[in-house]
Amino acid sequence: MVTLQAGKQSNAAVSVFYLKDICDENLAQKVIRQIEENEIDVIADSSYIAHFISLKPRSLFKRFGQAEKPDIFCDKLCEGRVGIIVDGSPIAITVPYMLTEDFQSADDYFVNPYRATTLRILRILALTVGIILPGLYVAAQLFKLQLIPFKLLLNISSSVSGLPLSPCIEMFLTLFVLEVLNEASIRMPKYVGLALSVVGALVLGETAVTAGIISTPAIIIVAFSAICLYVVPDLIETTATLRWLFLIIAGSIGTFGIVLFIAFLVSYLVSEQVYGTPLAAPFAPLVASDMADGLVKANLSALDTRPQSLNNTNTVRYRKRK
Amino acid sequence: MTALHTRQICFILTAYSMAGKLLMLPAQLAYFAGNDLWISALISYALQTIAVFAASFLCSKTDKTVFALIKDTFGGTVSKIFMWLFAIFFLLAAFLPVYEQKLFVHEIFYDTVPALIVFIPFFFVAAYVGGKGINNAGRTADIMFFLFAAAFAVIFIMSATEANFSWLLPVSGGSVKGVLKGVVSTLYNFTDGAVMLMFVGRFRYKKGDCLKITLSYAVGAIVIILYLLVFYSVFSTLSPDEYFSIAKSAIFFPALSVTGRVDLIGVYVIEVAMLLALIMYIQLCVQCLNEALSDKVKPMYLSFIINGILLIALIALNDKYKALHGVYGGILWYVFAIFAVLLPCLSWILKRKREGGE
Amino acid sequence: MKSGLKNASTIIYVLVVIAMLFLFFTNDFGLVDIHKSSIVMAVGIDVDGDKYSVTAQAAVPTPSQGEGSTAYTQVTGEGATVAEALNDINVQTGFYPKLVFCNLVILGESCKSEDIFTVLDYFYRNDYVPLTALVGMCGGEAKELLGQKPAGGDMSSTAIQRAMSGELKKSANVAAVNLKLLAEYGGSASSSAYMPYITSTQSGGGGTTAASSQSGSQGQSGGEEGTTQFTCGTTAVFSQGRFVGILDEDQTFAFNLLKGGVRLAVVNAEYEGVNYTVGLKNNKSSLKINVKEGAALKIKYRARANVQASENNPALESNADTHLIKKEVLDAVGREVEDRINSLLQFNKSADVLGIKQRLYAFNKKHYEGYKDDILDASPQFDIKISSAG
Repeated sequence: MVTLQAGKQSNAAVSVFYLKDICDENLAQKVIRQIEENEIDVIADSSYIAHFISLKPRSLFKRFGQAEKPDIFCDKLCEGRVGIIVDGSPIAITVPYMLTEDFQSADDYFVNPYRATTLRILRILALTVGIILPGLYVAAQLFKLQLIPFKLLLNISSSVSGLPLSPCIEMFLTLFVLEVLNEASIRMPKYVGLALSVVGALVLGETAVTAGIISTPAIIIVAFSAICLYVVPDLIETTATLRWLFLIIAGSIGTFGIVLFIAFLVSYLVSEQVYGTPLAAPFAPLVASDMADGLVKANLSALDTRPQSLNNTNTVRYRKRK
Repeated sequence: MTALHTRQICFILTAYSMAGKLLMLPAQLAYFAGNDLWISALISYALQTIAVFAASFLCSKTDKTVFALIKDTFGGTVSKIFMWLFAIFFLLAAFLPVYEQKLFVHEIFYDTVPALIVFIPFFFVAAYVGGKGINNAGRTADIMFFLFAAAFAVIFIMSATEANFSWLLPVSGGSVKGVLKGVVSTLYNFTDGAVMLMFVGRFRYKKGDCLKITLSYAVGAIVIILYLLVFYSVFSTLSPDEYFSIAKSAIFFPALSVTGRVDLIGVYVIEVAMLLALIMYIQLCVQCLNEALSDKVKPMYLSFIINGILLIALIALNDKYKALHGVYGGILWYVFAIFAVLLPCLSWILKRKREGGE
Repeated sequence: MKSGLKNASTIIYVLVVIAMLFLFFTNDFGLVDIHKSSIVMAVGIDVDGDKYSVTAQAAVPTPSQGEGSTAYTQVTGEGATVAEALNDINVQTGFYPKLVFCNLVILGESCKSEDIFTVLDYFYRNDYVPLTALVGMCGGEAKELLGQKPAGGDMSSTAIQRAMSGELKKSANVAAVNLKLLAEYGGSASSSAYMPYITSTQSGGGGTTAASSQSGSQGQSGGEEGTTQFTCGTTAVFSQGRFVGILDEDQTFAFNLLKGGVRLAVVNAEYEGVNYTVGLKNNKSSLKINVKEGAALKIKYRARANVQASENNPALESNADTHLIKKEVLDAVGREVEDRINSLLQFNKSADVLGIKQRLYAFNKKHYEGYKDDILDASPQFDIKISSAG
């Protein structure tokens, strides 16, 4: 453990943790150097440190892991990561970071591996649906009606007929309302919570549909999308932004825009690295041994090596005594 | 320099190679060769498999790139000439497929014919990704291979339910001239030998990799030939008109009348692979130019220039596909034969000349 | 230089974002979205001299949608070609007729005098028309047929499609065909094509409720007065695109048996003055051409039969083997099937609807030139075996 003082005015204690016989010493030193190189008045939260150690702070995708629970933090250290705790902040930071980390949950290691695998696949599917669905719905209405099954298309068509807004503006407004409700529910005092729920549900939901301002399918899609994104709460900042991007692209270019943006995202993600660890590992580059704890969750005895993508010095973490 | 892994090369030569042959190739082969379209494809694939084998066998003898080998044998100037020639070749190899991609997007992604402007964002993405290098192509192949395989398998199975294989009879019923014309006119789709040549010296060769790479390519070849058989079995006399068959052959699957066009989800996944396969040509072109200019210009700028050229050419030659195909199939076919077939084979002989000279 | 390029890239980035947002909010591609589209379900084509009259039946979204009824509108356009007629519909209604959901194309009786592939040329050229669309011919005007109200409150096109459904095809009652198959058979060596011939019968109410003849008509799910039933038990046959004749129900039945894909066919046979209605399962048929000693047709048919109903009331007997069929009855069924196939083969001489020439070309190409003119007159050899199920 190395403790540093950061923040000229706040003098916050920043502790850097790593396991000497597992973690690459150079990585730890690099992280410490990154923290020491940055001078700032106040370190209010661990996210400030995260900004310093992210070598590309303007990237849409985060480049650090987060842990709020001690067991997760310890587990990440044991995999060969460097952990950082900031005095006064409840969230610990870990690097290097892989995108698959956020799809893993602590519960996955306590439950049956088949259930854990199912849940991981569910999370990925839910996230994909949550990001793409609003855009796909708009693109289908504007550019490619065939994507919608015929009987459903008649229902949707009857719902949207007579609406004053085009499909993209309707979806834009509905998403905007959702974001406003989201933000308000975080900031508002507790005692107005009930009133705001009523306003959100009845006025903005049901009454808007009855008044013919927005359609029912749009509300269903936005609501479902919002729920899907919260399946992976650690990625909510990125995925909520991506949802907006997909909507704008789908509304302007259509389904080709969605496909093109996916191709762009794939290319972007595979080329990004965080302290030598690819962001898209273990999928790209494909590391077969790490796949046991990637999309699928194998049982404990199969997780006998630490993730190779993390370049740790001691790869064996489980061995059966003879 | 090691930028790629053997596995990634296998994935590229399977998935990306297959993706590039699903647009116009089936309909064009059916136009020239009729129900013998699979024979034309077999001939083209046989030539390419030999070329891929020759290039991958070269990797077992050297860890230098092909341009370094040429430099060692013929000098720096000749090596620079070849870099420029290959850069132009990959630009040519990218252009007509980009054009076909534009036509595909206009027909399949929209219910009515949209403006040219909807395809222009492709060039922005290609400009960004094109400057990332072939390392990026390898990593995207790691992801796209599985997605492409799953999507293609679904489309294939859905198409096969409508296939009537008696339409393929009689075998060799068409003319030999038609079959050969099919080979020549579609040769611009078969550039995998040249692609493999660019991978020489860019991955750490291990014993048995030559066989792995060649077998991977052969598997892709067999799958495409099977697809061509299914394609003709589904459409028979309509085949020459059924461009972009990958988006049309599965519509006869009975369940689609209830669920809607869910096959389009598979098509969109395949489209992602097609776009990345196209961008790989741009990445290879950038790679060649970068080496020709001795790393003096940033790859990102080169990528922008190349995509700018492609965009201008696309706009200038809008609605001239037939003429372009006539040029590619009738005049430029020998360029593809030289770069994608002859040079990979000759490069192996080139290495032997170097050993003899030492 | 570096900062200049960086500024340039920032400016380009901002411009691209502004352009995307502009396109997003204006959606001004000139594309046709859901608000401006007319979802055409079926198209009927009639020929009047040099003009084509195209009737489009489009689904109309109304608040009552989804309660089992489907509202529709019917618009007729005219033009020198089908494409011009559809454009006329666009001019009349202001809606762009999107044919991506067009599942049915009906040719009126007036199309008999035309080459059907000329009539259907638009549908083959248009990349947005699905080749899965069913095709049929009707007596009278296609416009009138589409304007009729079927029982059950559906659109007429839905009812007609149901009459051509896969289920009926599997029971050998209907020879359904789509645009793809029509072109395949028409472009083959046999140059023949077929499609169901749609007949309509009125029931209840009085008189025919025809669609308005001029611009359009509004249709809604209605009551049972004056409802129409559509049947497609007969088949129109074409050779080289021209109408040749109509296969009756028995010939259609035989045609479907030989085409294959029949799950359960029902046939009635008489033995010793008693009618037996028999269900034929496990149907396997093949039509082979033997060229060893001149061209000969070998027709093989196998099936397993069970009695579905009989005038003998065997269900009242206590005999445990009532599900078994007497050999004589099976022979009678076999004779009935053979008679129907023979009747079909007689018709086939004028239009090779069975695709015999195509089979000769595909399987015996060496002998194709020598036998192609005589093969339709070749005498058939039957090998029909129907066994009892159970």
